[in-house]
Parts: sequence; structure tokens; C-alpha cells
Amino acid sequence: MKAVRGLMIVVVLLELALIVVFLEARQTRLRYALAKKQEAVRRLTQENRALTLEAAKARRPDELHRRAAQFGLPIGTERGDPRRP
Amino acid sequence: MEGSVRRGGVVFVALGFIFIGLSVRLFAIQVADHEGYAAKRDAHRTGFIDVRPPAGTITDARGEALAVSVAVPSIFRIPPPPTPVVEGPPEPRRHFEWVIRRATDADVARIKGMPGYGVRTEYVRRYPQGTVAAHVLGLRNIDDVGIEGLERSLDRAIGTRPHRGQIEVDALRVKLSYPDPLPGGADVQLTIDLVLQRIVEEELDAAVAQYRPKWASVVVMDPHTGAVLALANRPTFDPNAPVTDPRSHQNLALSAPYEPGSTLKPFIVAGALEEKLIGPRTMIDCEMGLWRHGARVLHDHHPYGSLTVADVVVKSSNIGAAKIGALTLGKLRLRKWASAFGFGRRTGVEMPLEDPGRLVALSRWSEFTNTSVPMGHEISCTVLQLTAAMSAIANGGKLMRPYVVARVGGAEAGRPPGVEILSKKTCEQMREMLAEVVKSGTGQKASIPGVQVAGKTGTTQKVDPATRQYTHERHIASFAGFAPAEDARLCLAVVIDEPQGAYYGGAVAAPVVANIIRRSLPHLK
Repeated sequence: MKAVRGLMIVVVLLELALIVVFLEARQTRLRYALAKKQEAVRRLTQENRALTLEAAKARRPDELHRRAAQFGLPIGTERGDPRRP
Repeated sequence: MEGSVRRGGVVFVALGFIFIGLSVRLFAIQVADHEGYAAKRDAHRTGFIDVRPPAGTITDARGEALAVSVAVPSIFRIPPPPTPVVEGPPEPRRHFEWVIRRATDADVARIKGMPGYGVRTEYVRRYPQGTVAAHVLGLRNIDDVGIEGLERSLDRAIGTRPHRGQIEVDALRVKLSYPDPLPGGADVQLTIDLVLQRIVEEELDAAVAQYRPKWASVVVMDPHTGAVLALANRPTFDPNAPVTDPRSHQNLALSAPYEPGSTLKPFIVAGALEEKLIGPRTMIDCEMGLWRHGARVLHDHHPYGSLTVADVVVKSSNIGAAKIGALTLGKLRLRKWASAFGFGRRTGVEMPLEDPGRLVALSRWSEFTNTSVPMGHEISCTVLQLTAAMSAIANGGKLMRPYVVARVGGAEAGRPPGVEILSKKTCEQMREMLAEVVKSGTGQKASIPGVQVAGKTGTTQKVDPATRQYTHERHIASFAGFAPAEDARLCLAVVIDEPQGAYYGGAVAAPVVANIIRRSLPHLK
């Protein structure tokens, strides 16, 4: 009877140890995943800034005028043009 | 039996020695050499990373990007440790050094695999609008430190400093964490309206092309809040390529005090009206254009007899203004009212290097000062101060503190409260006078169809540095006003220094005001 009880305690302790190891392993996996996401966020933030810059440049009136002129579509972005407010 | 007891004793003693040995070793590892082993453990799982978040983005009032930091690679080198020398002094140890700041992809490819070379991410500031609002924004140096304009004054909020952050790594040095971001790097939204700013810059460029002045400056404000909607100076610079004449970097609108001339008259008249010493219809004898006051002789451009106070403003009579200042208000009240409108002290706008202008101290106030100040001489102000003072008349009597920063890091930057200096009645009377200036007085070229513009012209003679006398050769042409007169949406001042070909404020500055208002008002609706 004593031997069975002792065996059960050992089994329970082993199971607890397995759970702890599983949780540790899971935590490590999550940390890898999180680090990857953080790196991706950093990269995307940089990309977002670069695109913000490009968009702001592209919206400049002189740039719009230049591009419109390329397509033969004067859009009145110059000072004194009656089409411009 | 005895033999087995002895053998057992030997085994026990041997095990005891082993146990003691293990205990000693364990003590050495866990206690005596603990720090050394802990350091080894930490070295295995700890790495360092250069962290420098980019400076925050600056946008205009509508969210259009004005300044953005983008990542660029920079190449550095850490020379190998010097080889030991047998004789002579040891070679000095060399450290980190930059090889190429802001390198190209080709440069990075070229050094790939070269021992001692590495690539670090830096941020370069880009200003997508080019020269637009250059003086407001300022610029950052190669080390990403703000050195001019808002980049300088807001550097603590938007800028960041280099920092080596500690991270956890695995046995293969793969990152398991990132350091927390440092404070700083906040995005900033300005009160500047990019559409208005462009209009102002274009009109200023046109005036500069026509009159070739020494410098010119325009400030546009929302008179009800003090928000600066546009601010431009000429000469200017491109913050993307800042290696230009350093004088072009000066934000003249707030750092170049000048004598405001007749644009100061409305404030003196407003003070006298507020003190109830005069009314708009009070008659002032303008002495047919020549008035001797003590040792001084004053002249008007045109000889006037008796004028109403309103006409003194509309016709910009020097003698009328001098009499209101020197005789009606007197020294103490004259200075009090100049000070009440903010002259002689900084407005407190967020941009650096603001000049307070000059308002003569009472101890140095002379008989000449009594008649000079009402005509805008012996007093100096900045274009920003003049705009803020005119806003007080436009908004019903509150002197608002100008500001350009609306939000920092998403939070309201806090709108400074205004100071009540004039009654609604006085403002109403002044608005009528200033509207009449544009309708039938010296500022007719500021008028535009369908909108009542109010304002005051100024044509200031400059002092010749050689003779230290006022000269007829050099002038400052200016106009300060607001529109629509009855419910002002914007208040502005245009100052053009030493225009060529014409010099009256009504001829040079007033048309610039008209063009700016005509093009801006539809946008504000």
C-alpha cells in the first residue's frame, strides 16, 4: 500500500514537472514569435514613414502640375491661373 | 560480521568525503564564484542593440506631412585590436568610427563581409514640402539633433537620443526581446495650414520678384485663437539642402524687430478710445501739415486742417496720431497701451530666438518719445507681435498668445488663454475705422470684391547707418489687417523691407494682403 502511494506521488510530481517544462517551452516559443512580430512592426513603421514621405511629395501642387502636364492635362495649379482659387 | 561493519564504515567515510567534496565544489560555484558564473550566464543570454527611435513626424493642421524621418544605413568600422609590439610605446586602442553616414545600398553591398565593418540604421530628416514653412520647421543636423526652428525648440518631445538597449538572446544570438522604447519621438501637429502657407509663400515670392526687397515677411493668424496659420520669410532656405547663406535661415517674422510706423497708430487710438478720452468723431487739429511740439517739428504727407479721430486713422495723419499720443494719452498711458498690446515683450510662441522688440523704458522716455511712439518710431516690434496686436482688435478685445503647436503625441498642446484688453465697443469703433482705411483711405489696394477688409498701412522711413538720421531713400512698407471686418477669420501682417520701385505700404504691401485674403478665405469656409 505504501509503495503504491509512493509511486502515485512520484507520478504526480513527474506530471507537474512535465507541465512546468511544457509551459516553459511554450513561453519560449511565444517569445520567439513576439520578437519576430516586434521586428516586423519596426520594419513596417519604417516603411510607413517612407511611404508617408512619398505621398506628401506626390501631393505637392508643383508635382501634381508637373505630372498633369506630362499627360497634357493642365490643372491650374499655378499662381494667377483663373482656374485656381 | 565485524569485517562487514568495517567495510561499511570505509564506504561510509568514502561517501562522506565525496559528499564533502561535492559540497565544497557546490559552495564554490553557488557562493564563492557566484558572480563570475552569473556573468558568464548573462553573457550567453544577453545582447545589446542600438536603439534610436526616429524623431516624430511633424504635420500641418490637416495632417499633411511637413517633416518625416526615414531610415538610412550608415557604415561604421571598428578596427581590429592592435598587434602587440615588442619595443616602443603600445599602439593606442582604436574605437568605433563612421565610414559613410547615410550610405547607399551600393555602399552597403560593397562592405558586406569585410572584417571590422558594420551597418547601423540611422534616421535622416526629410521635408517633403521643400522650402514651404522652412523657418517654422527649422532643421536637424546629421546627428539628428534639432538645431533650428521647431525642430530645435521641440527637440525634447520629438527628438530622441542614441541608446544601447539590453535584450535577451538565445544560444544562436537570435533576439528574444526588444527594449522598451525611450521617451521622445512624439508626432507633432501644427496649427500651420499647408494650403494657406503655400498661398502666402507664392504671394510673397511674387512681391519679392516685383520689388526686390532686402527681406520680407508675412504672418497669418486666427485672431480668435492665436493659432498661427501661415508664416513665411524671404530670403528662405530648403531644409533638405541647408548649406546656404546662413542669413536665409533667420526667422525674420519673430527675430527681426523694425519700426512699425503708421501700423502702430490704431493701437494708440484704441487706447485713447478705451480710456474714453476721445471718441471717433472727436476733432483733432492737424495744423495744416506742420506742427511744432517743443523742439520738434512734425509733418504730414498732406496738409490737413481739423480731422475726426476716425479720419486721423483713415488718412494716417502723423500730427493727429502724435497729438492723441502725446497730449490726449500722455507719457504713462501711452506706454501702458503700447505694452498692453504686447509690444516690448516676447509673445511666447514656441519657436526659438524670438526678439522682444523695443519699448522705451519710462526712465529713458523723452519729449520726442511722446510724439515718436504714436507714429510708430522709437518703438520696434516683430511681424508676429504686430499680427497678434491687430488680432486683439479683430477678435473683440483679447490679446491672444500666438502658438504654432496644436498637438504633441496626440494630446492637445494647451491653448494659451488670452488677456482682455479692449471692450467690444472700442473694437467695433476701431473695426469701422480700419475698414474705412481700406475702403477710402491709404489701404485701398487691400480691398477685394465681396469681402470687407480692415487694416492699416505703414510706410516707415529707415535710419541711415552712416548719418544715423531717418532717410528718404530707404523704407519699410507694411500692412496689418484682418478679414472679413465684421467677423474676422484671419488676421495678417505683411512687411517688406526696402522695396525697389515703390515704397508706400498701401502700394507695396496692401496688394499682397488682398491676394492672400482673396485666395485664403474660400479655403477657410
